[in-house]
Amino acid sequence: MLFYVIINQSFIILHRKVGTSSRQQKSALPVTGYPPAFTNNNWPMVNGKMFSDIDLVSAIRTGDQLNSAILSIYRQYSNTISSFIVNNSGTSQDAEDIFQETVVTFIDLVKKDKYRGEAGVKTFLVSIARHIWLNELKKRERSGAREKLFEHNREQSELDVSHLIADREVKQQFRAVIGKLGEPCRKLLTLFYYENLSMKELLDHLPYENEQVVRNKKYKCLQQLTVWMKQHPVIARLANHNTKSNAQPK
Amino acid sequence: MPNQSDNQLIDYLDNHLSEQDRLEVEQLIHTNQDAYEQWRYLQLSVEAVEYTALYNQVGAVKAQYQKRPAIVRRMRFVLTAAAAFIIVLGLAAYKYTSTTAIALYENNYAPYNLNTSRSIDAGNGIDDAYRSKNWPAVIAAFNNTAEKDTRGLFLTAMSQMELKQYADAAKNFEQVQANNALTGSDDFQDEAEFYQAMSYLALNRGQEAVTILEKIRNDQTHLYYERANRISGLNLKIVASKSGR
Repeated sequence: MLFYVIINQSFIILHRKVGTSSRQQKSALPVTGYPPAFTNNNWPMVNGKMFSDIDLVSAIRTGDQLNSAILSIYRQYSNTISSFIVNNSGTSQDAEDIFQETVVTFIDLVKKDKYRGEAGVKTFLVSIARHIWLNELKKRERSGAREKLFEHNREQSELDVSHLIADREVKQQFRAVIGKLGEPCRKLLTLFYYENLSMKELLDHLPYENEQVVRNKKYKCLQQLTVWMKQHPVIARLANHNTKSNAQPK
Repeated sequence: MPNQSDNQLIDYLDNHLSEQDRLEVEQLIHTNQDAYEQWRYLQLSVEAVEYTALYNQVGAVKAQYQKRPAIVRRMRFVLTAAAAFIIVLGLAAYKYTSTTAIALYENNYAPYNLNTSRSIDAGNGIDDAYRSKNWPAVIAAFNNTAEKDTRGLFLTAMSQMELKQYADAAKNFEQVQANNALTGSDDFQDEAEFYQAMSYLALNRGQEAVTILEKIRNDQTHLYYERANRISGLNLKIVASKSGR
Protein backbone atom coordinates (compact mmCIF):
# COMPACT_ATOMS: atom_id res chain seq x y z
CA MET A 1 0.00 0.00 0.00
CA LEU A 2 2.82 2.35 0.93
CA PHE A 3 4.66 1.62 -2.28
CA TYR A 4 1.48 2.19 -4.28
CA VAL A 5 1.14 5.62 -2.68
CA ILE A 6 4.80 6.37 -3.37
CA ILE A 7 4.45 5.41 -7.01
CA ASN A 8 1.30 7.48 -7.42
CA GLN A 9 2.92 10.56 -5.93
CA SER A 10 5.93 10.01 -8.15
CA PHE A 11 3.73 10.01 -11.22
CA ILE A 12 2.06 13.23 -10.12
CA ILE A 13 5.43 14.93 -9.61
CA LEU A 14 6.69 13.52 -12.90
CA HIS A 15 3.54 14.70 -14.67
CA ARG A 16 4.18 18.23 -13.45
CA LYS A 17 7.84 18.08 -14.40
CA VAL A 18 7.05 16.84 -17.90
CA GLY A 19 4.54 19.65 -18.24
CA THR A 20 7.17 22.11 -17.08
CA SER A 21 9.81 20.84 -19.45
CA SER A 22 7.30 21.09 -22.30
CA ARG A 23 6.54 24.68 -21.34
CA GLN A 24 10.26 25.44 -21.40
CA GLN A 25 10.66 24.07 -24.91
CA LYS A 26 9.43 27.31 -26.42
CA SER A 27 11.70 26.92 -29.40
CA ALA A 28 10.01 23.62 -30.34
CA LEU A 29 7.12 25.16 -32.25
CA PRO A 30 4.13 23.03 -33.26
CA VAL A 31 3.56 21.86 -36.79
CA THR A 32 1.68 25.05 -37.67
CA GLY A 33 4.92 27.00 -37.43
CA TYR A 34 3.11 29.65 -35.55
CA PRO A 35 1.38 28.82 -32.31
CA PRO A 36 -1.91 30.65 -32.03
CA ALA A 37 -3.07 31.70 -28.60
CA PHE A 38 0.56 31.86 -27.50
CA THR A 39 1.20 35.48 -26.86
CA ASN A 40 4.74 36.62 -26.17
CA ASN A 41 5.99 33.33 -27.65
CA ASN A 42 5.11 31.49 -24.46
CA TRP A 43 4.19 27.84 -24.78
CA PRO A 44 0.56 27.22 -23.80
CA MET A 45 0.05 26.88 -20.09
CA VAL A 46 -1.34 23.39 -20.21
CA ASN A 47 -1.84 21.42 -17.08
CA GLY A 48 -3.05 17.91 -16.58
CA LYS A 49 -6.36 18.95 -15.05
CA MET A 50 -9.34 16.77 -15.92
CA PHE A 51 -12.53 18.70 -16.50
CA SER A 52 -16.06 17.68 -15.75
CA ASP A 53 -18.59 18.34 -18.51
CA ILE A 54 -19.75 21.56 -16.89
CA ASP A 55 -16.23 22.84 -16.26
CA LEU A 56 -15.19 21.90 -19.76
CA VAL A 57 -17.95 23.91 -21.38
CA SER A 58 -17.25 26.83 -19.08
CA ALA A 59 -13.53 26.76 -19.87
CA ILE A 60 -14.27 26.78 -23.59
CA ARG A 61 -16.75 29.61 -23.36
CA THR A 62 -14.53 31.85 -21.24
CA GLY A 63 -11.43 30.85 -23.20
CA ASP A 64 -9.02 31.34 -20.32
CA GLN A 65 -8.23 27.63 -19.93
CA LEU A 66 -8.86 26.55 -23.48
CA ASN A 67 -5.59 24.65 -23.90
CA SER A 68 -6.17 22.73 -20.69
CA ALA A 69 -9.71 21.99 -21.79
CA ILE A 70 -8.49 20.67 -25.13
CA LEU A 71 -5.94 18.48 -23.38
CA SER A 72 -8.62 17.21 -21.05
CA ILE A 73 -10.77 16.25 -24.05
CA TYR A 74 -7.86 14.39 -25.57
CA ARG A 75 -7.06 12.56 -22.38
CA GLN A 76 -10.63 11.56 -21.71
CA TYR A 77 -12.04 10.81 -25.13
CA SER A 78 -9.37 10.34 -27.79
CA ASN A 79 -9.01 6.60 -27.21
CA THR A 80 -12.74 5.95 -27.39
CA ILE A 81 -13.30 7.89 -30.56
CA SER A 82 -10.09 6.74 -32.21
CA SER A 83 -11.13 3.14 -31.59
CA PHE A 84 -14.45 3.87 -33.21
CA ILE A 85 -12.78 5.24 -36.33
CA VAL A 86 -10.28 2.40 -36.57
CA ASN A 87 -13.03 -0.17 -36.10
CA ASN A 88 -14.97 1.42 -38.93
CA SER A 89 -12.56 1.27 -41.83
CA GLY A 90 -10.28 4.02 -40.63
CA THR A 91 -6.54 4.08 -40.14
CA SER A 92 -4.81 5.46 -37.09
CA GLN A 93 -4.01 8.60 -39.07
CA ASP A 94 -7.68 8.93 -39.96
CA ALA A 95 -8.50 8.60 -36.28
CA GLU A 96 -6.06 11.37 -35.41
CA ASP A 97 -7.36 13.73 -38.05
CA ILE A 98 -11.02 13.03 -37.42
CA PHE A 99 -10.64 13.44 -33.68
CA GLN A 100 -8.88 16.77 -34.15
CA GLU A 101 -11.67 17.93 -36.41
CA THR A 102 -14.21 16.65 -33.90
CA VAL A 103 -12.64 18.65 -31.10
CA VAL A 104 -12.51 21.79 -33.23
CA THR A 105 -16.15 21.37 -34.22
CA PHE A 106 -17.18 20.79 -30.63
CA ILE A 107 -15.37 23.89 -29.40
CA ASP A 108 -16.85 25.94 -32.23
CA LEU A 109 -20.34 24.78 -31.33
CA VAL A 110 -19.84 25.54 -27.66
CA LYS A 111 -18.55 29.03 -28.43
CA LYS A 112 -21.57 29.68 -30.64
CA ASP A 113 -23.84 28.39 -27.91
CA LYS A 114 -25.10 25.54 -30.05
CA TYR A 115 -24.27 22.97 -27.37
CA ARG A 116 -26.41 23.41 -24.31
CA GLY A 117 -25.81 20.17 -22.46
CA GLU A 118 -28.65 18.26 -24.05
CA ALA A 119 -26.32 15.27 -23.99
CA GLY A 120 -23.09 14.53 -22.18
CA VAL A 121 -19.87 15.76 -23.75
CA LYS A 122 -18.80 12.24 -24.61
CA THR A 123 -22.07 11.45 -26.36
CA PHE A 124 -21.90 14.72 -28.23
CA LEU A 125 -18.31 14.16 -29.32
CA VAL A 126 -19.12 10.66 -30.51
CA SER A 127 -22.04 11.99 -32.51
CA ILE A 128 -19.87 14.65 -34.11
CA ALA A 129 -17.11 12.15 -34.88
CA ARG A 130 -19.57 9.71 -36.36
CA HIS A 131 -21.08 12.40 -38.58
CA ILE A 132 -17.67 13.64 -39.74
CA TRP A 133 -16.37 10.15 -40.40
CA LEU A 134 -19.46 9.15 -42.34
CA ASN A 135 -19.06 12.24 -44.46
CA GLU A 136 -15.44 11.42 -45.02
CA LEU A 137 -16.25 7.89 -46.09
CA LYS A 138 -18.84 9.20 -48.51
CA LYS A 139 -16.29 11.58 -49.86
CA ARG A 140 -13.88 8.71 -50.41
CA GLU A 141 -16.61 6.85 -52.24
CA ARG A 142 -16.35 3.91 -49.97
CA SER A 143 -19.68 4.29 -48.28
CA GLY A 144 -21.81 1.55 -49.73
CA ALA A 145 -22.29 -1.13 -47.15
CA ARG A 146 -20.38 0.88 -44.56
CA GLU A 147 -22.86 3.67 -44.65
CA LYS A 148 -25.61 1.18 -44.07
CA LEU A 149 -23.57 -0.36 -41.30
CA PHE A 150 -23.21 3.04 -39.70
CA GLU A 151 -26.87 3.80 -39.85
CA HIS A 152 -27.82 0.34 -38.75
CA ASN A 153 -25.53 0.46 -35.77
CA ARG A 154 -26.38 3.95 -34.70
CA GLU A 155 -28.06 3.74 -31.38
CA GLN A 156 -31.49 5.10 -30.88
CA SER A 157 -30.27 7.41 -28.20
CA GLU A 158 -27.52 8.89 -30.37
CA LEU A 159 -27.81 12.51 -31.31
CA ASP A 160 -28.28 13.79 -34.81
CA VAL A 161 -25.83 16.66 -35.05
CA SER A 162 -25.87 17.08 -38.80
CA HIS A 163 -27.95 20.22 -38.56
CA LEU A 164 -25.38 21.76 -36.26
CA ILE A 165 -22.33 21.12 -38.34
CA ALA A 166 -21.63 23.32 -41.31
CA ASP A 167 -20.35 21.97 -44.58
CA ARG A 168 -17.00 20.34 -43.82
CA GLU A 169 -15.72 21.20 -47.20
CA VAL A 170 -16.16 24.89 -46.50
CA LYS A 171 -14.14 24.59 -43.32
CA GLN A 172 -11.43 22.67 -45.10
CA GLN A 173 -11.30 25.36 -47.77
CA PHE A 174 -11.06 28.03 -45.09
CA ARG A 175 -7.83 26.41 -43.95
CA ALA A 176 -6.57 26.12 -47.48
CA VAL A 177 -7.20 29.80 -48.19
CA ILE A 178 -5.62 30.92 -44.92
CA GLY A 179 -2.66 28.75 -45.81
CA LYS A 180 -2.12 30.92 -48.87
CA LEU A 181 -1.61 33.96 -46.72
CA GLY A 182 1.94 34.89 -45.98
CA GLU A 183 3.26 34.49 -42.47
CA PRO A 184 3.01 38.21 -41.54
CA CYS A 185 -0.64 38.47 -42.63
CA ARG A 186 -1.61 35.18 -41.05
CA LYS A 187 -0.01 36.19 -37.78
CA LEU A 188 -1.50 39.66 -37.76
CA LEU A 189 -5.03 38.53 -38.54
CA THR A 190 -4.86 35.68 -36.03
CA LEU A 191 -3.58 37.89 -33.25
CA PHE A 192 -6.26 40.48 -33.93
CA TYR A 193 -9.33 38.38 -34.68
CA TYR A 194 -8.60 35.19 -32.74
CA GLU A 195 -6.49 36.41 -29.85
CA ASN A 196 -8.38 39.71 -29.72
CA LEU A 197 -5.28 41.81 -29.21
CA SER A 198 -5.62 45.53 -29.59
CA MET A 199 -3.62 47.55 -32.09
CA LYS A 200 -1.32 48.65 -29.32
CA GLU A 201 -0.75 45.09 -28.13
CA LEU A 202 -0.05 43.98 -31.68
CA LEU A 203 2.98 46.25 -31.75
CA ASP A 204 4.61 43.98 -29.15
CA HIS A 205 4.36 41.05 -31.53
CA LEU A 206 4.87 42.60 -34.92
CA PRO A 207 7.75 44.55 -36.46
CA TYR A 208 5.78 47.71 -37.29
CA GLU A 209 6.47 51.27 -36.25
CA ASN A 210 3.09 52.39 -35.00
CA GLU A 211 -0.58 51.52 -34.79
CA GLN A 212 -1.50 53.18 -38.07
CA VAL A 213 1.04 51.07 -39.90
CA VAL A 214 -0.46 47.98 -38.28
CA ARG A 215 -3.93 49.10 -39.25
CA ASN A 216 -2.91 49.67 -42.86
CA LYS A 217 -1.25 46.28 -42.97
CA LYS A 218 -4.38 44.68 -41.59
CA TYR A 219 -6.50 46.33 -44.28
CA LYS A 220 -4.26 44.90 -46.96
CA CYS A 221 -4.17 41.44 -45.47
CA LEU A 222 -7.92 41.25 -45.04
CA GLN A 223 -8.53 42.62 -48.52
CA GLN A 224 -6.22 40.02 -50.01
CA LEU A 225 -7.88 37.29 -48.02
CA THR A 226 -11.29 38.45 -49.18
CA VAL A 227 -10.19 38.37 -52.80
CA TRP A 228 -9.03 34.77 -52.45
CA MET A 229 -12.24 33.84 -50.66
CA LYS A 230 -14.23 35.18 -53.60
CA GLN A 231 -12.13 33.16 -55.99
CA HIS A 232 -12.77 29.93 -54.18
CA PRO A 233 -15.86 28.24 -55.64
CA VAL A 234 -17.02 26.43 -52.52
CA ILE A 235 -16.78 29.51 -50.39
CA ALA A 236 -18.23 31.73 -53.09
CA ARG A 237 -21.18 29.39 -53.35
CA LEU A 238 -21.79 29.76 -49.64
CA ALA A 239 -21.52 33.53 -49.80
CA ASN A 240 -23.71 33.82 -52.89
CA HIS A 241 -26.33 31.60 -51.36
CA ASN A 242 -26.55 33.90 -48.38
CA THR A 243 -26.35 36.97 -50.58
CA LYS A 244 -29.23 35.92 -52.77
CA SER A 245 -31.38 34.96 -49.86
CA ASN A 246 -30.78 38.38 -48.38
CA ALA A 247 -31.10 40.34 -51.58
CA GLN A 248 -31.05 44.05 -50.98
CA PRO A 249 -32.75 46.71 -53.09
CA LYS A 250 -30.34 49.06 -54.82
CA MET B 1 -4.75 50.31 -53.24
CA PRO B 2 -7.57 49.34 -50.94
CA ASN B 3 -10.94 50.78 -51.69
CA GLN B 4 -11.89 53.40 -49.12
CA SER B 5 -15.32 51.93 -48.62
CA ASP B 6 -13.74 48.49 -48.15
CA ASN B 7 -11.62 49.92 -45.35
CA GLN B 8 -14.73 51.45 -43.87
CA LEU B 9 -16.38 48.06 -43.94
CA ILE B 10 -13.38 46.62 -42.14
CA ASP B 11 -13.58 49.38 -39.53
CA TYR B 12 -17.27 48.65 -39.19
CA LEU B 13 -16.45 44.96 -38.75
CA ASP B 14 -13.91 45.88 -36.06
CA ASN B 15 -16.31 48.31 -34.39
CA HIS B 16 -13.86 51.15 -34.91
CA LEU B 17 -16.30 53.70 -36.32
CA SER B 18 -17.99 56.65 -34.77
CA GLU B 19 -21.71 56.41 -34.28
CA GLN B 20 -22.43 58.49 -37.36
CA ASP B 21 -20.05 56.57 -39.59
CA ARG B 22 -21.42 53.28 -38.31
CA LEU B 23 -24.94 54.26 -39.30
CA GLU B 24 -23.76 55.30 -42.76
CA VAL B 25 -22.03 51.98 -43.33
CA GLU B 26 -25.07 50.06 -42.15
CA GLN B 27 -27.18 52.01 -44.59
CA LEU B 28 -24.73 51.20 -47.35
CA ILE B 29 -24.79 47.48 -46.56
CA HIS B 30 -28.57 47.42 -46.57
CA THR B 31 -28.97 49.37 -49.78
CA ASN B 32 -26.00 48.40 -51.93
CA GLN B 33 -25.64 44.82 -53.22
CA ASP B 34 -21.92 45.12 -53.84
CA ALA B 35 -21.34 46.50 -50.37
CA TYR B 36 -23.41 43.74 -48.86
CA GLU B 37 -21.47 41.11 -50.79
CA GLN B 38 -18.17 42.62 -49.71
CA TRP B 39 -19.41 42.72 -46.14
CA ARG B 40 -20.38 39.06 -46.35
CA TYR B 41 -16.97 38.05 -47.63
CA LEU B 42 -15.29 40.02 -44.89
CA GLN B 43 -17.33 38.10 -42.33
CA LEU B 44 -16.38 34.81 -43.96
CA SER B 45 -12.74 35.87 -44.01
CA VAL B 46 -12.76 36.52 -40.29
CA GLU B 47 -14.58 33.24 -39.74
CA ALA B 48 -11.85 31.52 -41.76
CA VAL B 49 -9.13 33.14 -39.66
CA GLU B 50 -10.83 32.12 -36.43
CA TYR B 51 -11.55 28.56 -37.56
CA THR B 52 -8.03 27.97 -38.81
CA ALA B 53 -6.51 29.42 -35.65
CA LEU B 54 -8.67 27.16 -33.51
CA TYR B 55 -7.77 24.18 -35.67
CA ASN B 56 -4.08 24.95 -35.25
CA GLN B 57 -4.45 25.48 -31.51
CA VAL B 58 -6.09 22.08 -31.11
CA GLY B 59 -3.34 20.62 -33.28
CA ALA B 60 -0.67 22.12 -31.04
CA VAL B 61 -2.23 20.64 -27.91
CA LYS B 62 -2.64 17.33 -29.75
CA ALA B 63 1.08 17.34 -30.53
CA GLN B 64 1.86 17.90 -26.86
CA TYR B 65 -0.56 15.18 -25.84
CA GLN B 66 1.00 12.69 -28.22
CA LYS B 67 4.49 13.43 -26.94
CA ARG B 68 3.84 13.33 -23.21
CA PRO B 69 2.25 9.89 -22.78
CA ALA B 70 5.30 8.25 -24.33
CA ILE B 71 7.56 9.97 -21.87
CA VAL B 72 5.21 9.19 -19.02
CA ARG B 73 4.85 5.60 -20.22
CA ARG B 74 8.61 5.15 -20.28
CA MET B 75 9.02 6.75 -16.90
CA ARG B 76 6.07 4.75 -15.57
CA PHE B 77 7.81 1.57 -16.66
CA VAL B 78 11.08 2.65 -15.10
CA LEU B 79 9.39 3.69 -11.87
CA THR B 80 7.37 0.49 -11.74
CA ALA B 81 10.45 -1.59 -12.35
CA ALA B 82 12.36 0.38 -9.76
CA ALA B 83 9.57 0.03 -7.24
CA ALA B 84 9.30 -3.70 -7.92
CA PHE B 85 13.04 -4.03 -7.51
CA ILE B 86 12.99 -2.12 -4.25
CA ILE B 87 10.11 -4.26 -3.00
CA VAL B 88 11.87 -7.47 -3.94
CA LEU B 89 15.10 -6.22 -2.44
CA GLY B 90 13.33 -5.19 0.73
CA LEU B 91 11.55 -8.50 1.02
CA ALA B 92 14.77 -10.38 0.37
CA ALA B 93 16.62 -8.33 2.96
CA TYR B 94 13.86 -8.88 5.49
CA LYS B 95 13.78 -12.58 4.71
CA TYR B 96 17.55 -12.88 5.06
CA THR B 97 17.81 -11.02 8.32
CA SER B 98 14.79 -12.63 9.94
CA THR B 99 15.69 -16.20 8.98
CA THR B 100 18.03 -17.55 11.62
CA ALA B 101 18.87 -20.97 12.93
CA ILE B 102 17.27 -20.12 16.23
CA ALA B 103 14.12 -18.85 14.55
CA LEU B 104 13.98 -22.06 12.56
CA TYR B 105 14.31 -24.05 15.76
CA GLU B 106 11.54 -22.08 17.47
CA ASN B 107 9.20 -22.55 14.54
CA ASN B 108 9.82 -26.26 14.04
CA TYR B 109 10.60 -27.79 17.41
CA ALA B 110 7.96 -29.88 19.14
CA PRO B 111 8.66 -32.14 22.15
CA TYR B 112 8.93 -35.83 21.61
CA ASN B 113 5.74 -37.57 22.60
CA LEU B 114 6.46 -40.78 24.42
CA ASN B 115 4.08 -43.23 22.89
CA THR B 116 2.73 -45.55 25.58
CA SER B 117 2.69 -48.42 23.11
CA ARG B 118 6.44 -48.10 22.81
CA SER B 119 6.94 -48.12 26.48
CA ILE B 120 9.14 -50.93 27.50
CA ASP B 121 9.54 -49.50 30.88
CA ALA B 122 12.79 -50.62 32.35
CA GLY B 123 11.41 -49.93 35.73
CA ASN B 124 13.89 -47.15 36.40
CA GLY B 125 11.23 -44.45 36.56
CA ILE B 126 12.53 -42.59 33.48
CA ASP B 127 9.35 -43.08 31.45
CA ASP B 128 7.09 -41.96 34.29
CA ALA B 129 9.21 -38.92 34.93
CA TYR B 130 9.21 -38.08 31.21
CA ARG B 131 5.47 -38.40 30.89
CA SER B 132 5.14 -36.18 33.95
CA LYS B 133 7.41 -33.69 32.22
CA ASN B 134 9.70 -33.81 35.20
CA TRP B 135 12.80 -33.23 33.19
CA PRO B 136 15.33 -33.01 36.02
CA ALA B 137 13.94 -36.29 37.38
CA VAL B 138 14.47 -37.94 34.00
CA ILE B 139 18.09 -36.85 33.96
CA ALA B 140 18.63 -37.85 37.58
CA ALA B 141 17.01 -41.24 37.07
CA PHE B 142 19.18 -41.91 34.03
CA ASN B 143 22.35 -40.85 35.84
CA ASN B 144 21.46 -43.14 38.73
CA THR B 145 20.61 -46.18 36.70
CA ALA B 146 23.23 -48.81 36.17
CA GLU B 147 22.10 -49.91 32.73
CA LYS B 148 22.13 -46.87 30.54
CA ASP B 149 20.20 -48.04 27.52
CA THR B 150 19.51 -46.19 24.29
CA ARG B 151 15.95 -45.38 25.28
CA GLY B 152 17.02 -43.79 28.56
CA LEU B 153 19.77 -41.89 26.80
CA PHE B 154 17.37 -40.52 24.21
CA LEU B 155 14.75 -39.46 26.79
CA THR B 156 17.50 -37.81 28.81
CA ALA B 157 18.59 -35.87 25.74
CA MET B 158 14.99 -34.79 25.12
CA SER B 159 14.70 -33.66 28.76
CA GLN B 160 17.85 -31.62 28.27
CA MET B 161 16.25 -30.04 25.19
CA GLU B 162 13.27 -29.03 27.32
CA LEU B 163 15.65 -27.57 29.90
CA LYS B 164 17.43 -25.72 27.06
CA GLN B 165 20.63 -27.64 27.74
CA TYR B 166 21.19 -27.90 24.01
CA ALA B 167 24.89 -28.73 24.02
CA ASP B 168 24.39 -31.69 26.37
CA ALA B 169 21.37 -32.80 24.41
CA ALA B 170 23.34 -32.72 21.15
CA LYS B 171 26.08 -34.91 22.66
CA ASN B 172 23.55 -37.45 23.88
CA PHE B 173 21.78 -37.56 20.50
CA GLU B 174 25.19 -38.28 18.94
CA GLN B 175 25.76 -40.99 21.50
CA VAL B 176 22.46 -42.68 20.67
CA GLN B 177 23.52 -42.89 17.05
CA ALA B 178 27.00 -44.09 17.98
CA ASN B 179 25.53 -46.81 20.18
CA ASN B 180 23.29 -47.96 17.33
CA ALA B 181 26.26 -48.08 15.02
CA LEU B 182 28.11 -50.30 17.48
CA THR B 183 25.23 -52.67 18.13
CA GLY B 184 23.75 -52.64 14.66
CA SER B 185 20.37 -51.63 15.96
CA ASP B 186 18.26 -48.61 15.13
CA ASP B 187 16.60 -47.79 18.43
CA PHE B 188 15.47 -44.17 18.33
CA GLN B 189 17.83 -43.67 15.40
CA ASP B 190 15.50 -41.46 13.36
CA GLU B 191 14.38 -39.54 16.43
CA ALA B 192 17.97 -38.93 17.51
CA GLU B 193 18.92 -37.64 14.06
CA PHE B 194 16.02 -35.21 13.85
CA TYR B 195 16.37 -33.85 17.34
CA GLN B 196 20.10 -33.60 16.96
CA ALA B 197 19.42 -31.28 14.06
CA MET B 198 17.04 -29.33 16.28
CA SER B 199 19.67 -29.02 18.99
CA TYR B 200 22.17 -27.73 16.41
CA LEU B 201 19.67 -25.10 15.30
CA ALA B 202 19.17 -24.02 18.89
CA LEU B 203 22.95 -23.77 19.21
CA ASN B 204 23.09 -21.69 16.02
CA ARG B 205 25.14 -24.39 14.33
CA GLY B 206 23.16 -23.96 11.15
CA GLN B 207 25.34 -25.77 8.64
CA GLU B 208 25.47 -28.93 10.75
CA ALA B 209 21.73 -28.85 11.30
CA VAL B 210 21.01 -28.33 7.62
CA THR B 211 23.26 -31.24 6.66
CA ILE B 212 21.21 -33.60 8.82
CA LEU B 213 17.89 -32.16 7.77
CA GLU B 214 18.76 -32.38 4.07
CA LYS B 215 19.62 -36.05 4.59
CA ILE B 216 16.24 -36.64 6.24
CA ARG B 217 14.41 -34.67 3.51
CA ASN B 218 15.83 -37.01 0.93
CA ASP B 219 14.96 -40.23 2.79
CA GLN B 220 11.31 -41.10 2.34
CA THR B 221 11.61 -43.99 4.78
CA HIS B 222 12.74 -41.70 7.59
CA LEU B 223 10.23 -41.28 10.39
CA TYR B 224 10.75 -37.51 10.25
CA TYR B 225 10.73 -37.20 6.46
CA GLU B 226 7.46 -35.22 6.39
CA ARG B 227 8.40 -32.96 9.29
CA ALA B 228 11.75 -32.17 7.75
CA ASN B 229 10.11 -31.36 4.44
CA ARG B 230 7.71 -28.97 6.09
CA ILE B 231 10.69 -26.74 6.72
CA SER B 232 11.23 -24.34 3.84
CA GLY B 233 14.17 -25.21 1.63
CA LEU B 234 14.89 -21.51 1.20
CA ASN B 235 15.10 -21.07 4.94
CA LEU B 236 17.55 -23.94 5.18
CA LYS B 237 19.70 -22.40 2.47
CA ILE B 238 19.72 -19.04 4.21
CA VAL B 239 20.63 -20.59 7.54
CA ALA B 240 23.37 -22.65 5.92
CA SER B 241 24.81 -19.64 4.11
CA LYS B 242 24.81 -17.53 7.25
CA SER B 243 26.49 -20.23 9.23
CA GLY B 244 29.15 -20.58 6.57
CA ARG B 245 30.51 -17.08 7.39
